[in-house]
Amino acid sequence: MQHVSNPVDVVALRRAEALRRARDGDRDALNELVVELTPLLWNVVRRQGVDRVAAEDVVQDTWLRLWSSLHKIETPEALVGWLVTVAKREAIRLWKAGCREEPVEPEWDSMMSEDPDVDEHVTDRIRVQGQYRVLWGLVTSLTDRCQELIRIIAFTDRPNYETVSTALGIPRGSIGPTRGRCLAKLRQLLRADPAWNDRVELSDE
Amino acid sequence: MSELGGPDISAEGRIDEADLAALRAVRELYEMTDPVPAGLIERIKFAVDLEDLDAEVARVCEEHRLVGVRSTEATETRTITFDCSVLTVMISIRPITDETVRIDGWLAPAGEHRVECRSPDAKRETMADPQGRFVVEDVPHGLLQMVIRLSWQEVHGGTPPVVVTPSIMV
Repeated sequence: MQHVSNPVDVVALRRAEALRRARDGDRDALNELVVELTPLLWNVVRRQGVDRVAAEDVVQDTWLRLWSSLHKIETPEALVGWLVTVAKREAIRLWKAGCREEPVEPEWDSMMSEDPDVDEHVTDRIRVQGQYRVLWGLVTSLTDRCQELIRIIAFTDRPNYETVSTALGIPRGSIGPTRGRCLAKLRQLLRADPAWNDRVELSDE
Repeated sequence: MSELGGPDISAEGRIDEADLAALRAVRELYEMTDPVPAGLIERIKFAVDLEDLDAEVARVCEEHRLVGVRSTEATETRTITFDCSVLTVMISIRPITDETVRIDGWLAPAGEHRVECRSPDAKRETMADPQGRFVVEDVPHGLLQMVIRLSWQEVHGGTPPVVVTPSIMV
């Protein structure tokens, strides 16, 4: 049902080729895909509110499911959408089916609160990096949907409607307008923030 | 709207340099505040470095840690339950020496299934007893993955299913 949405998308074609090689038993090809796409999957899963420990399991589980389905894959071009779908489904399954006993961390955003429940290295890093603290404040002032969309497309080397649509569960047709709105809003916030503009050049031309 | 004309032409126009700069910054933000854990990619590479099998993938369901202090040495036993549609695997992992752990396991449904514990540099195999219990000793610290070949031809016939667990650190 999926297709290459863009014939010039050489990245998708390269990945499809790597997947074909992986299917034929080339482990290096599979490893390349693991290295390249794990950061995207990590962010998809974390965005679902899964804590870091459980997210490791979900991401690994996603790759194992790909591995065990290698011989069944008919449309290698659909790889990223497939992985994102599985990762998201497994993340949702965690708190729906309650395979794990402990509840998942409510919201990662609590990191910036007075009493953060994530590891202190993270808050240390944030503290020393004022620039990111500013950006964090701006990003979290966006709507949930925009935060999710921006986080996902930031980890997609070439924002691709199929992937984003799959990851967010919103219709393809509304990705363009939603993305446009979210990016415009983020840009507007960044421009308005002197602390950010001092450090980062946003080329206007 | 057509996507054939270029990668990212939407009703609102292209993603421009300013957007790309903002997205790069957002990516850096998340990479710094919520990085992919060290070692995760290695765990995954190890886990999928298996011959191509039509295997059932078991999920981690529960994990408990029990810390006991015996005379002067502290011991920590972990129990982990893996689950999939055909099998539940429960293991307890006990450190024996600085280099090795002992795995006590239990499979349900019970049966004399073949159990393989694979580490990056070693492979240990054993058979579960009719009650589904098994013990694997001298498992090195580090990555561990289990591959279980079920023996239930008498009931189900056909090719016995193979179950793989994710890789874990022991």
